Amino acid sequence: MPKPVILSEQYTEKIEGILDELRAKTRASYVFLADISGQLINARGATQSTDIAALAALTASNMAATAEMARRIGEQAQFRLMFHEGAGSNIYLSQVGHSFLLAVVFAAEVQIGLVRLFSKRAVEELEKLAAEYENVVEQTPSMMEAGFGGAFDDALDALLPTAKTKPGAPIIIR
Amino acid sequence: MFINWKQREIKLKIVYYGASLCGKTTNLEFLHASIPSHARSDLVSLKTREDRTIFFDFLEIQLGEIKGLKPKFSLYTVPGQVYYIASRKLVLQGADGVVFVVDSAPERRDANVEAWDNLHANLREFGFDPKTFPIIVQFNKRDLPDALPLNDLRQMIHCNGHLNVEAVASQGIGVFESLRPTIKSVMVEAQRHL
Repeated sequence: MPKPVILSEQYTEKIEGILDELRAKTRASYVFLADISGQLINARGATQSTDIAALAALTASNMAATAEMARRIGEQAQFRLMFHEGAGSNIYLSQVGHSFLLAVVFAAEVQIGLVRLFSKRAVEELEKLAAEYENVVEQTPSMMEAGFGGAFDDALDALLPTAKTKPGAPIIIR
Repeated sequence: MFINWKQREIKLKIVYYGASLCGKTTNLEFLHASIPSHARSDLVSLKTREDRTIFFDFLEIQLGEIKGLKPKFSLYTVPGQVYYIASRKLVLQGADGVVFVVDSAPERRDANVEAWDNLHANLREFGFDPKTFPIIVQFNKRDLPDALPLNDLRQMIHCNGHLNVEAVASQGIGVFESLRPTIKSVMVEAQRHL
């Protein structure tokens, strides 16, 4: 299993601080940080109506695809940023170190120059924060309450119950 | 695996792996249709015009709050077609567990073996031992009239040591039964870090 990424409360607050500042300065609709495997780390702003987990997965795959494009046109490193422009909404993606990406989703009225400038600053701060990461993990206390394992199994069994249908019995999917 | 102490979230990634047309997307479609909408995301499918997975399918499921923690599981499929082989590795990156879907059709024998060997090669490349990595093997399409016997399938891919589940994913049979033990085994590992 891959090495887990464990984010302490203080560490998360630092990430949120950087994301909040980026969002305020660019007047973006929302901003988020994800890792290159597609896991959403943190999102700030008006994300309620958006399926942000799916969006994080898509942005990560987009980054991965363009990394391959970069390689094929002879770039030594990956592309550092990507910009997709729509009629009403835009998305600006920046690479953060080798393992993360920062996304800014903003309306057409927002100036791209602002997004570009403040994304660059946020990336620098996030990269500095990433460099501190190893020290933070050591300080995290246990967060698991007694009885978690049993309660988890019960919740899982309730969500994914054993099928009562016999083999061969049709189940209508849609 | 991501653990966020402030939001009290645990995020784990599970990848459905296997040969083309073996039923990986069908597993996710059934899960999406069966799990209540408050407990899952939209199903995202990146497909070609011929309805084949070009990059991946994605579905997140959430168990709600359990003793103050919020476990979430990202489910992905890899593209089965061999010419998207590079995408398989990208999607596998960061996976905490795998559901390997085997097509029971006799003519898919070589394709199953190719995908199984490719999974092993990719896991090794990421630094994992395929023997100990959480892999559940789902023998799908058990309703085919000429489905290969289970013993033949087991010998074909040498999957001793991994839990096996029989399935007819198109009818939902064995879909939950494959995912449940996969989630449990990745959570056992996750709990060591909590």
